[in-house]
Amino acid sequence: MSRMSLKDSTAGTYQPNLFSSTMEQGSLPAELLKRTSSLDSDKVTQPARWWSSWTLPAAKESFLAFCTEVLQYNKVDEDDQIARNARDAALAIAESAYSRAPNRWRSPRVATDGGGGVRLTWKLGEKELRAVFPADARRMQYLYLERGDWHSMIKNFTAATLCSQFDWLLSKR
Amino acid sequence: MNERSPGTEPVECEEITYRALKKGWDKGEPIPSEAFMRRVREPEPEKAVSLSRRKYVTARECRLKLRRKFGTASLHVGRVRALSFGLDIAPDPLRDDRGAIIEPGHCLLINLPDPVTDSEGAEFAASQLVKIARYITPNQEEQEHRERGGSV
Repeated sequence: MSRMSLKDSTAGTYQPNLFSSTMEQGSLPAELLKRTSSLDSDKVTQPARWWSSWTLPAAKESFLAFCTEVLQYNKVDEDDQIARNARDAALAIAESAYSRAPNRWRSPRVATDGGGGVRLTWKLGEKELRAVFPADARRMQYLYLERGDWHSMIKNFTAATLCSQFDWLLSKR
Repeated sequence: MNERSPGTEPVECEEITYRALKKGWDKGEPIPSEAFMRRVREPEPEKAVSLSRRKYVTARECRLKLRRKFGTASLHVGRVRALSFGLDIAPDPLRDDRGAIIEPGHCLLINLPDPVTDSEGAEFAASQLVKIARYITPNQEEQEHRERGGSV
């Protein structure tokens, strides 16, 4: 399983030595450096196609694009900055969720809560999943799930919980 | 004569308000939920969400007021008030140092749940507002701007 370290990522891009030997070390950093953070290609306009035609290489591509977007966010949006601890928490959970189930990974929309916190949103049809990582470490990160008028919240969630919510999002239930 | 200054009059149910948007999902889902959430600040979240009254401001003017805004959503005031959260829209004209009104169209979406102490309520209220909001397309923005002779 590919593993990626999040430490020492303050420069805004991942470094080659942070990737394990199973992750095509030679190509990844250059690949990441070429990316922009707009990620329009990662958010195609037809959700059904986006979610159905999914392969592991596409998942890896999507995950790396997500990481780059988070790491580059503060360079793109000068008004709304992501706090370091919120960024690290979001990347750590996302990395763990991706490692557990790469075939279920989809890139979320990345935004802030206006105070340095990170908001990740996945949407499929009428189902929506939001993961919120506050900048203030005293506040709990949470998952918010919604389908129509039904909604629920899971506080202090783990990567395993996020994975199970990917299942919910992808299921036809 | 006691005439109200422009922008201080109550916001009528028939009015339309605008909210400038950050980058949305895609062309089909352009309005993100955080557009209708109070921004988290220290020591406490902002009290309300800023809107612009259509009677004073075009969608384009609303969008261009702040940097890096990707679009505008409109909210019908009556529909906001009809939601079951006690939400309201109140006039809040901005003034200069001398107290003169410089932005009569500014108003506030108030009574939104606190995103820190009532995160679930804040998320759900934002979702309900997204459902009743309407995205202003570039063509609609252009048309309105032309018809009203906007200043931007």
